[in-house]
This record gives sequence, structure tokens and C-alpha cells, in this order.
Amino acid sequence: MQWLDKVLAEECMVFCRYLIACDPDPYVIEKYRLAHRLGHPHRHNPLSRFDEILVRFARTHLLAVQIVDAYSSMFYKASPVRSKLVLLLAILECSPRTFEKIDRPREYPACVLYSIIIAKGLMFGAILLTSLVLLIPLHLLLTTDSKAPR
Amino acid sequence: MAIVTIVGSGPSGVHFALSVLKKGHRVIMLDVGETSSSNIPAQHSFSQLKVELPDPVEYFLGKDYEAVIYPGTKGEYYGFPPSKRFVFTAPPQHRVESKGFSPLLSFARGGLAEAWTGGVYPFNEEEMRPFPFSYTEMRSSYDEIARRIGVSGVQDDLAAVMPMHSYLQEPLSLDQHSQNLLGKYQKQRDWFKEHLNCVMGRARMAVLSQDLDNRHACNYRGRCLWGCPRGSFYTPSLTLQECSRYASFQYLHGHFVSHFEADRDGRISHVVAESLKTNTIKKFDVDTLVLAAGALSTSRIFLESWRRHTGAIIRLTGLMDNQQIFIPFVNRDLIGKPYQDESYQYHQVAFGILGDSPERYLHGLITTLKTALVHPLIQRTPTDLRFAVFMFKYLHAALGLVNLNLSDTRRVESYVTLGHHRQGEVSDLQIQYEPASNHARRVEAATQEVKRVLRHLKCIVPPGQVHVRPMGASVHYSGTLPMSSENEPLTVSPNCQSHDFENLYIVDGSTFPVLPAKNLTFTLMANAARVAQNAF
Repeated sequence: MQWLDKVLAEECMVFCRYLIACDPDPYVIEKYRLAHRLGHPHRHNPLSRFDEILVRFARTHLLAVQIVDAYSSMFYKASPVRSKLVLLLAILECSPRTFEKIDRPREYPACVLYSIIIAKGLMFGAILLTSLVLLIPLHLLLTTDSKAPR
Repeated sequence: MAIVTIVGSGPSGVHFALSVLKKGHRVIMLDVGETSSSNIPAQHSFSQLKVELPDPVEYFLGKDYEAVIYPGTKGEYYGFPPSKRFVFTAPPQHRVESKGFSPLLSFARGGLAEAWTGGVYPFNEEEMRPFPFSYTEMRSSYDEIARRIGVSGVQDDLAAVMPMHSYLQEPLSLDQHSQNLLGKYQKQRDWFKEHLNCVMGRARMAVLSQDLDNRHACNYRGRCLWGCPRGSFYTPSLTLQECSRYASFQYLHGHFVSHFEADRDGRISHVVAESLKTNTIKKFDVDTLVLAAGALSTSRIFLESWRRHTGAIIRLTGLMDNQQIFIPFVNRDLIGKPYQDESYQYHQVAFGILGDSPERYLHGLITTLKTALVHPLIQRTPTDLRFAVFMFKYLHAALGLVNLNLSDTRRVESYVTLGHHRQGEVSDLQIQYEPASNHARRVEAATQEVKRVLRHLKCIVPPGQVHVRPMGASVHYSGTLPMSSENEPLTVSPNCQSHDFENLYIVDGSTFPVLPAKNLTFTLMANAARVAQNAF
């Protein structure tokens, strides 16, 4: 259990930095752990081999989360990584030190704002392409593998 | 004076009860009466709660994180607050099978309207034409209900589709988004009327802008969705409290009414209920029985009683509900602006699109809800969540939602009946709903009309985000035991007296012979008061 708590704390750290570019405080980490103890987000459904790989990969680095999340957003919406991210997002939007990072925009002139959105959109596009190259073959392989006669 | 036994504490039940109490009758109210208590400080705004509560995640997401909406869940744009889950808690005796319908029933103290959105939309004379009584009767009842519950609003273009009534308090302050929308409409109002047949104005709301009795005026804490801590926002449990001040009122909660018993002449002698605390069956003597449990529960009680009285399982045909369509939009003028959480949160602007008949009228509510949980919305963006979070910050203030209602009519293909029956237990309720043959075309046409309205308000409807809710989702159930001037079986008189059981009255939506597009809660209350005035 201690091992799992440690893994979840590290996972929460990476995911929180990914979502809102800051570290989670102890309250958020504890809430994230508690949710997992209660069975969220998978409600005790067993993870497939592909899911396990995705979760482990996502934990390693910000870029890894982004790749997995980009892939999930288009091709695998109910993926466990995306579900974990949504769970954390729900916690962050209710937590005292982090809700404003989701709620409160910085003031930009309109042209600057739209430029930032376009730049981020292009970045998403590039990450999505990367995720297709990396993950589609793996997804197909592991899906085929699980269906192959034993 | 005879004892009046009422089943149900929703908007119909409590206003009927209060009316007959004022006339000196003794009232016994039987109710399941689920409730919840909350000890959240009243002075904090929505955002302040996140800072001041000792465990805000538990408050907003629930002890079991039940308010988290995960990807892949087919659902609405916002989840229900954990604090309001009691509204939908059902006792184990209640079992439903349904086809073509997603029913929501409430056994809460105050009924489903404990989670309503406060819109007050009186039916007009044309809409009430199929009702077998004169509009004048309803008009005075609307006045009385407005006086009791507190309604704020103003006379504007919406009065063309929504008659005025007395006791209207000053309107609440509009939030920035609603001001912007209404401002754009007002600059082009003639064009909207001429080309789109559309009138728009301030929603009339069951919210106080001035103190009333021991309830306080809204102070814009933005907690409407989570439970108004000041009594500014009306819910029927407030009227239940008022009834409780009468010595002649007895509220027996924790009772699930299964059926009534009648003699051979059709006179009801007892109502039978199971105590949820002791699991024992109790019989209550009846002088006059009033069913106000909501159309589905009232129908179940009636059907079960009929089965036991005659041996026959029958159908109550003509079940109606408003088709609702959610149309989200982005208001270009507000992109990049900060959102206001300290404002009234439910819809402040409404519109009507007139057709060539009342059935074709479309009723739209515009919500600029800012204090719902945002993770269900953010995850809908077809991008990674980091980008989605960024974009949402700049779109939050610009987001709005049209909740569009379509009218419904009674059809024999839509009915309720009894299903599986176990010895000694209450039968299951079976619901079948069949939309009219032109329903899909109506939905599509209505959606396109609203999109035109939004385009002319410089609002963008993101592609693929229109959500046609399942039938049953609006919870405006009606029509199963309709009013009729003809003395026919399975109908009630213009004063809602059953034509089958002489000492039975039915005062909820079961008795409506037609369902206009407007939210019907205000009319339910007014009709219940009307019946009490006329028949008791």
C-alpha cells in the first residue's frame, strides 16, 4: 500500500504539472490517493496490457503524458490515463490553491491570445502525429495479441 | 371539516395543502420525504467555499467522488451536486421498467422541484384552450402563487408569450453575459420578430430580489446550483415548512404509499403505505384523498389500486414530456474575459419562437452557468487536456447553453402500466413512450431555428455538441389522468375530481390534457391552488 501511495503521489505530480504547470500540494495528492483507494477511476475494472503500458509510460515525463493524452483525446477517450487526468482535473478545480489556475484567465490583447491558441493548436497537432506513430502500432499489436488464439 | 389526506410534498402537494389549510381543513400529508441537511456557511460565495471549507473536494465531488464525470460517459453538460443527490434517492419498493423513456422520479421532501431551475413561465390563454376551465380561474391562481413564492421579473417583449401576473418583484441584476445577449437582441428586436418570429427577454424567476417573510433577497453568492443558503431561491420545502406551522397539518414522512382501497361504490376508505423505518404496512383512514405524487408515482398508485379493486391491469395512456435539446454556444464578445461567479446562476434570459399554433411554439432558456463543475465540459474539447484547460480559461465567460423545450401531446402509444408483480409487493411500473412520427423532423427544425437566433446574437455553436436529451430527462411528466368535462373513466373533472372514485382528487401534472413547451412547475402550483379554491 505504501508503494502504491508513492506511485500515486509521483503520478499526481507529473499529471498536475502537465495540466496546470505547477506541483500539487499535499491536500491534492491525498485526495488523488483517496479516490484511487475508493476504486476510481476504473472502479476495479481490470486494465488491459495496452492500458498498463500507457499508464506506466505517462507517469515517466510531461511529454509522455501529453503524447498519451493527445492519442486518447481522438482515439481512445475512455483510456485510463485520460480518466485519471479528468479525475485530477476535478480535484484541482475544487481545491483552494489550484482552482484559480483553471478559472482565471490572464489578460491578453485579442491578437496575442489568438496567436497563442494557434501556436498551442499546432503543438497539439505535432504531438498528435507523434502519438499516432508511437501508439497506433502498439494498440493494434496488443489488441490483436489479446484476440489471437492461445 | 373533512380530513384531507395528501400523497406527495412536491410543488402541487404543498400548495394544495397550504390552500386547504388556510380554509380550515385538517391535512395529513404522507410522503417518503428524503432530505439532507447541510451546514455550509451562508456568507461565502462559490469561489470562497473552495478556500474556506475544510474539505472542498468532498463538498463538491462527494464522499465517494460520485460527481466526477469520466470520459466516455454519455451525459449532460454538468453533473448534479452531491448535496442534491437526495432528490433522486428512491426507496427499494420503487421499481421501473421503461422503453423509449428515461424516467427520473423523486421521493424528496419538496419533490423534484428541490432541484429545479426556478423558471416561472405561466401558460397563456391559447395554450390553456384544451383545459376544460376558463383562463380567468388560472390567472388568479398565478397571482396567488407568485405572492406566496416570490417571483422576480419585468414586463418586456416576453410578455407577448407569457402573461403578466401580480406580485412581481424587481428583477435581479443581470450578469455580464446575459446583459450582452439581451443588449444585442434589443438593438435588433424588430428584425428578430419579423424574420425569426423570436421574442426575447428576462426570464421570470422564483428568486427574491426583496426579502419576503423570513426569506432573504438574493445576494449573488453564485451558489444557486449547490443549494441557496438564504432561502432566496424558492423550493417547495419552504412551503412545506409554512404548512407545518398550522396545528391542523400533520406531515408523516418515511411512508411509501402503495395504493388506496375503495368500497364497491368507488368510495375510498383507506390509503395503504409502508413505513420505511419499520417495514410495516399501515392503513390510514381517508375522508378525501388527494394524489400529488407526480405523474408517474400518482399513476403507479392509481394503477395498483385499480388492479387490487378490479383485478385488471390497465394502461394509462397519453404520457407526455417536453423534449429538451441542449445547444451550447460561445459568445464571441466575451472570449478572453474573466467570468463572474458572484451572480445569479440559472437562466436569466429566455426566448420564445412563435409558430402558427401553440404546439409549434419553442421555448428557450439561456443559461450562462458559471459555477457548475467544469471538468465535464473541458474534457469534451477534442484536444489534449492541457490545451483544453488553457482554452477553457478564455472561453469560460463566453460559454452559454440554450435549453430548448418542445411541446407534447397525448398519444395512446405512450402510456404507463404495471409490470412484474410479486406476491405481497408493489408492482413494477412500466413506461412506454413513443414519440410522434414527425418528432425527429421537429427536433432538427427546432435546432436550426435556435442556431439562427444564436448566429444573429454573434454566438458560435461548436459543431457536434448539440445534445438531444432522452425523453424523460426534462421531468415535466403529465397527461396520464387528464382533465375532461366528459364523465369518462380514467379522467378527472375540471376541478380534478376523479371520475372513477368520488372522494379522490389528483392535483399534479397527471391531469394536464396538453403539455405546452414552457416549464410547467409554476402552472402545477397554480392549478393545485385553483382546485383547492374551487373544490374545498
